[in-house]
Amino acid sequence: MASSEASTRRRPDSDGLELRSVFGHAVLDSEDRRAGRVEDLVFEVRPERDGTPRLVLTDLVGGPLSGPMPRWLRRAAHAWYRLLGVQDARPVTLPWSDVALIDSFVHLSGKRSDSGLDQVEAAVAGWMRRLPNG
Amino acid sequence: MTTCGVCTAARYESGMGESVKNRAGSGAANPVAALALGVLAGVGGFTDTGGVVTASGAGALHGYSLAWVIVIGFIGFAVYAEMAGRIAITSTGATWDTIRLRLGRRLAVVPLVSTLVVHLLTLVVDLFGASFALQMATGIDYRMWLPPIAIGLAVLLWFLGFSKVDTVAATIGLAMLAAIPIALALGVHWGEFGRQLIHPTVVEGKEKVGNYLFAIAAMLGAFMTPYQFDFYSSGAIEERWRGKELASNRMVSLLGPAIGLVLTLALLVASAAVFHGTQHSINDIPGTAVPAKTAFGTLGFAAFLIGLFAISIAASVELCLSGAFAVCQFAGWNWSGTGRARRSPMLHLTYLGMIALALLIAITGLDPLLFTNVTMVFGAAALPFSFVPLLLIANDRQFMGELHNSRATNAAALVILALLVLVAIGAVPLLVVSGGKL
Repeated sequence: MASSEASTRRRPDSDGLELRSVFGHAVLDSEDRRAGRVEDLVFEVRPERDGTPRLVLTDLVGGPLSGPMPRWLRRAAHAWYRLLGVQDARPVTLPWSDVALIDSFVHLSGKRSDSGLDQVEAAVAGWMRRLPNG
Repeated sequence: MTTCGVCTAARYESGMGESVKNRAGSGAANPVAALALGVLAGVGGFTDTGGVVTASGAGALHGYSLAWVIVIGFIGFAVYAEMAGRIAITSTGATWDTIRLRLGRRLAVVPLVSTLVVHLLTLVVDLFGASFALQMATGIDYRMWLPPIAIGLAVLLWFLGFSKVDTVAATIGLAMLAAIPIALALGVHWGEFGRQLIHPTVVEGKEKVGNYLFAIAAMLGAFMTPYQFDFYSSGAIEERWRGKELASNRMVSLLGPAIGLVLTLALLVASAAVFHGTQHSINDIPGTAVPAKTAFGTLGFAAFLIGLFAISIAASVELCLSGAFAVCQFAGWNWSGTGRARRSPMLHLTYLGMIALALLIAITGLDPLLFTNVTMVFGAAALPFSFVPLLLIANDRQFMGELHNSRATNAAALVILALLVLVAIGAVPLLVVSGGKL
């Protein structure tokens, strides 16, 4: 799947976009640093000119605890993230307008730190930085 | 199986729009480099503590009658490693990227968890291997060596990086090639060996048959451990293999296991020469060194210990890297193995966690030989979870284009898969019947 979408590097126009070309894909920020995956999508119902309702993709969801998961796993993951130094781990909602390009990755126009997608990695990197050679 | 090359988190653009065969790459196209890679991969990747223990144990108890399993393991390894490399060349996405996308999160978590569990247990086995090598060299109990080896491994990986530690360990592990002259010195009954390869004799008796079947499962698990496939394909991605690396992929995926095949057969033959038909057998990991000592005295013993220690460390490095790769690729985190830890913190956190957990398991007082045998069987039982996604992806013509599986590849892959599914079904009953002994 990754490859077939990649053959056409689409402009980020949500109209007519195949959902599978976004959903589950890895996210890269403007510096080509990995920023997790697209775990969920947010749609809005908007009327067409003739009044017919249509679904429009408005946001992507990524980051920690995003996507469906059992309650026990969510609690365990929350505790784990707290242990790693992320006190308030939560999913990140990215407006569709932040998407710069879609090929086999979803490329963002901004840095991952601006959106909070790197909250877990940043927390771990923070204490690793204090170690020699970290 | 490959040494860790230049890792980058650069944009890997997929290229189904162009002919995959014509894409330029920067990987190991040099045949000499591929040869060197294959030798190191064969010794340091195909053979590790599990391989040494199961081949030696099988030779001691069953003589040459399990040699055919090593050949099947070789074919299975070569077929699936080539497939994994081809998928990496086609998609240029990381292995777990591809699996995650193809199967979805819920389904892909099954092979991920099974792979991680087997990686962790195999890491315990290799910690045992390295610590027993030091016990045999110093006389100090192996349990005393477990913490310093685990901590030393973590420190080396942290400060030197995967590539240096793995390359040095795999190179020193070439000492294990001493198994070939050891086997020749102890004597090979070539006629009997050939007969047993084609028509193996299973000694009658329920207990013996149970042990024989258990040994088959353990040996398959030892020669086709999942980490080798992850490591191999992730290495291909890192080195940016493209169309012109197709030949290198075939060469490395054949050459590495071929050397491992000869080495493992030598271990089985040497062990059979010393133990088979006698009252003695291999009851612990140090028993695997007896053939080396018998053949060449202290020199053979020293070469074996150095080889065992080095291949155990090389395998441990590859296990850590494979486990960390799997987690980071699955989650979409940075999985670059080079540079400072803060550049790919979750990768470093994952392998540190694996080492800590493996140490905790190892020091609980488990019987190392029994644990090794059981781990190898469960490794084989877990393989279908890794192989089925590979097989599905490699047969997807839309995804693979012209590089999809041929009928011959599919036939070989399905036979191996069927065997492994039987192992998965029979793992627990075989464990009960055999008591975990080969």
